[in-house]
Amino acid sequence: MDPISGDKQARFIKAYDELADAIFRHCYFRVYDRERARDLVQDCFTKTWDYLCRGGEIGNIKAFLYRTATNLAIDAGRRRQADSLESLLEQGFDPTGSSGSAERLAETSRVVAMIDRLKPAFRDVLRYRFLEGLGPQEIAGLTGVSENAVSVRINRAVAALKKEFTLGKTRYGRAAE
Amino acid sequence: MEELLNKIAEQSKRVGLTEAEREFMRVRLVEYASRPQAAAAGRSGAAQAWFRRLSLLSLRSSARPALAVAMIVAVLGSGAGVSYAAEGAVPGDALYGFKIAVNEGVSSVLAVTPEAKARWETRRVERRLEEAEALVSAGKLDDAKAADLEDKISAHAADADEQLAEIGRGGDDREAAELGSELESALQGHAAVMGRLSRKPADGREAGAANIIRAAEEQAGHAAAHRSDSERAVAGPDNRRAAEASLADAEKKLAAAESGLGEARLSAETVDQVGALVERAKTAIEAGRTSLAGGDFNAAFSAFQEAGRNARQALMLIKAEKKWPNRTYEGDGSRPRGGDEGASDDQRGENGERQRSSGRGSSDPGRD
Repeated sequence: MDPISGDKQARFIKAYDELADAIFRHCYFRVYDRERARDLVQDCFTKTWDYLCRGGEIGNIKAFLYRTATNLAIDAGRRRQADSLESLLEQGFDPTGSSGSAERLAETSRVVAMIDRLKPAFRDVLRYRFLEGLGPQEIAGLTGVSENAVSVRINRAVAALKKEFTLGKTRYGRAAE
Repeated sequence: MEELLNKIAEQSKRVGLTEAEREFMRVRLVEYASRPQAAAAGRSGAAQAWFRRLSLLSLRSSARPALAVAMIVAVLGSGAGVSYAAEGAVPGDALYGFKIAVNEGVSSVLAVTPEAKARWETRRVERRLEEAEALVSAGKLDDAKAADLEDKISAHAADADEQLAEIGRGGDDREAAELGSELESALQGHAAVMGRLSRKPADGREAGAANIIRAAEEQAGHAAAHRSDSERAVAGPDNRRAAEASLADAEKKLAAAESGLGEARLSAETVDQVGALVERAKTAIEAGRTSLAGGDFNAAFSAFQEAGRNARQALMLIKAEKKWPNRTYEGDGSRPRGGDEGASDDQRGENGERQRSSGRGSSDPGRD
């Protein structure tokens, strides 16, 4: 096995500095558990380093880390539902601001849960865009589709989410009556 | 819906690792990547074992005792050598994260009382300023490092201020005033040292250094305001003793500064600067003695505190010239002595010594 160069090591640590939080968010919005998400970040980076040590070549380290993190999150198996409002609030997640209403918080929680239930192509693109804060260009770089296609998919996914949300509201309204 | 989604996107940015988690994980990762056996880790499962200790940690702020124990375990597990070596690290060094997250994390958790916390946060302000000085002297203070240090200096100073307010609320105004005075003189003294180190006659100061100096001076202003309030509030049968103790402390520092002024081979500019500070200290002591004789113990206490601050700043300037003779006094007619000590070695040597002359012992709670 070739000894790994200091340059590679420096680039790897730089990638950690730049992407640790993003990878953490990526994991968190898949497992909805802070401790587990942190463990996944560690595993993601050590596995990436091990891959480099085995002589593996990585063209786009960002895409590689995201892919590794996704696989690890899937392997982690049991996943809590996103509808745990408590879990989101624990992370300082307060989309209403300090003066927000309980109703708005509940809506947020429902939207996040609904994103999770959309078909994979829509779910993934909405997670990247609205939960992980990535732009269409970044998403395109990670998913391998064109930026234009990503934008179209986001629009369609938002429309699907809107439809689900309205339907849910109607159902909820009827149930309440 | 779009509005809600945008709000969600905005709030999602708050989801992230805490600074302690990020730094601690980084240190472990650097260590992991530096070990030869890391290459085989993927096959052997050693990666998981390596990080198991970290996984056991609860880095939530609500679990301070657990965090302290875990960090101490990490220090011991990594060997005291890593911890010692990390003490000399400056931003950009591989072990800097270890210094902040582990070494300082342990000290932070061990500082329990508001007094200990205030001393420790003051010490942290000094540590960041010493790192900035080391980087400037080595010509390695880039904008990113300067911005990071500036943030940390402001944050530590604000934390120290908060603890001083807490001490004041607890009724110990004398302690709050003395510790406030230490914070103020640390900020002012290091700002002056930074000013000397970063001076470039041809093109002005380096931007990063200038920002750090500005932040230190701004925080010194806040500390001065709080210190002044505390001094005015010192009252009761204790205030004569407070003034007398403050006089003894100021005289001790003044004697050290005068001795340094006489012994060290200083540049003309430093002699002027230190001489002015010594004179100010003497004048303040004289004014304080007059107040003491007249029974105005509060005024005496304030004057002796001022004398102590001036003497301390004088000592800091003398020390800086001893540390960085070539960098500080280049081109101003000084008599530089041989040997540039170098940033990291310099820091390491200094951190092995006791710093304070206040008679309170070290302000690093982790070292007591």
